[in-house]
Amino acid sequence: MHVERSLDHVQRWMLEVITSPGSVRDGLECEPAKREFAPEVLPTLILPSATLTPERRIGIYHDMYLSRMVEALEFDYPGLSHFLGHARFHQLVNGYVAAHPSRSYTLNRLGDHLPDYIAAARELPRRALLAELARFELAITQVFDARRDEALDLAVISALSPDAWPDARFRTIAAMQLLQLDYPVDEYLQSVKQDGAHPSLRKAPRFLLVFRSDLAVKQVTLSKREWTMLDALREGLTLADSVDRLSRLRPSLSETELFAWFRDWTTMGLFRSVEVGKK
Amino acid sequence: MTNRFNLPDLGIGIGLRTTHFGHILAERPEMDWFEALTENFLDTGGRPSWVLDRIVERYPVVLHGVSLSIGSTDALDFDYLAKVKALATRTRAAWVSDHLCWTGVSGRNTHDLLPLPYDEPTLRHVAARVRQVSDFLERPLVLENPSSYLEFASSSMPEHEFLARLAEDADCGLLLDVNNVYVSSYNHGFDPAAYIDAIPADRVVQYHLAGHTNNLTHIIDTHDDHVIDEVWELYRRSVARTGAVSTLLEWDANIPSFDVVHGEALKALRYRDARASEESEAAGAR
Repeated sequence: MHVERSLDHVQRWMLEVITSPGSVRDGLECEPAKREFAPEVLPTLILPSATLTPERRIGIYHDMYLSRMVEALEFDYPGLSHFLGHARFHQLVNGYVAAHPSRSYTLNRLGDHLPDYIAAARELPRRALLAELARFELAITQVFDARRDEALDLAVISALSPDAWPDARFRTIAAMQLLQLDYPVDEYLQSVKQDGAHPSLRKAPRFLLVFRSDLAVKQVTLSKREWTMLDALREGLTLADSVDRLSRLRPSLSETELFAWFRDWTTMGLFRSVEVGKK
Repeated sequence: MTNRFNLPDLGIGIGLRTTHFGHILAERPEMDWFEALTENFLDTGGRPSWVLDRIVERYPVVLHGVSLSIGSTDALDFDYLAKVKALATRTRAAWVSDHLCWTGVSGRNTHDLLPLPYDEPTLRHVAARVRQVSDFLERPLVLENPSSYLEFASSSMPEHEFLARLAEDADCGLLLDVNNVYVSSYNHGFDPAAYIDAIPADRVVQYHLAGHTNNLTHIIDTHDDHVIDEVWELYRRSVARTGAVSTLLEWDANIPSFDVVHGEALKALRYRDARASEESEAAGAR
């Protein structure tokens, strides 16, 4: 239909102009915009005001677009934006939203590809560290928004018969992530939020649990053994298979230690259900 | 006058913002109602969702969206609309509103409220979509006039005429943002009073009030300050036509304390009360 195609043309053109990296002039002259309308027809599309030219008027939308993207990602990635400083973060976002524009009705998911984008950004100094920091910050926002699950009561686990334990599968809550990191990005973010001295960002491998409890996102550093066990359970392995996975790590797991872990995990509200019986 | 949808006058409300969550939950302030930004509560099972559930236990809530993109040439997103509908049911929302605008196309979202050309084809396009949305939501959609910073050369009618005809053709309600009228009138050089006078009064189910930033060459709708006198005057003028209608103050940047925002919103009472006094006197004279 000619009618809607015309509106469609206008919208596709305006989208390309206002989301184009660089200046609004760059936007008017970018190839996707020119496929809809040549730059010189701008005055036939947009009226001037008493004080602003058509280019300046569409430029308001162009400038606000990037500001809005930067603001949204600064909110979700405070550690990353602090590390880079406003100008470099702005530059990063400029490239990122050109590669990964929002395709959602919510800005909450705008930054979902940022860790991978940084990992692939060869020109970025310390990109391995920055990608890890971004991965940690993304985990925080994902855990913050994750589905609300009713936590399993400790009494339910205590009531399990000894025979049922080996084949039991403990289903973890949605608001929980396990991260294996090479750098102390958790300590760095904490220092940013507390406006304190930053830790050294040399390699210091760590195993983190990020979870939501009492509506707040919390993080706990785990031993490699505890992290491995919890990760196996999160994957859906039976307790016996999870313990088996742990057998490669030393020291070997004692029953006392295992029960202590379960008590802690249940107190933290990490399980939503337990399935008993072979599958 | 009551609106034709018989939607209630909720009184004076403010926009529900994260920074005020703690105060509202702890102090339980006397408050007529809140407007919640729809998209902030669609995909979260965390604190925002929990807080909203606590608030609807105590206060009436209205949902106000920014991503419907009613004017886009992209297909309507019914997955999104299904979530909006579910949220409206859960919160017992008095109504659901969004903006007369488009926010993106080709599957991309700018998260801005972008202006439309005000012409006949666009009117038919938007009206058809509004009807679809209202049918899906099983309630009349309420649309807000946007602030805008450009005008399309192809527009064949003023915004107020487009809005009035759209409301009639699509049988939708209107959320009249008086600050937006002022902002756009400044940016485009039209008479804001004439705009107000042209809005079909019986379709106005809600007002918005807000502050803005005047850059001298143009005004940006920043919602970061007190309402200026000129906007209050437009509000007075409109209330004289519509009677008391649910009124909400938006404050989205440099947000002060709850009490300051609420105090600013309550200034609207003097215009609503003045109108009520006039009605009362007129009834007495009869």
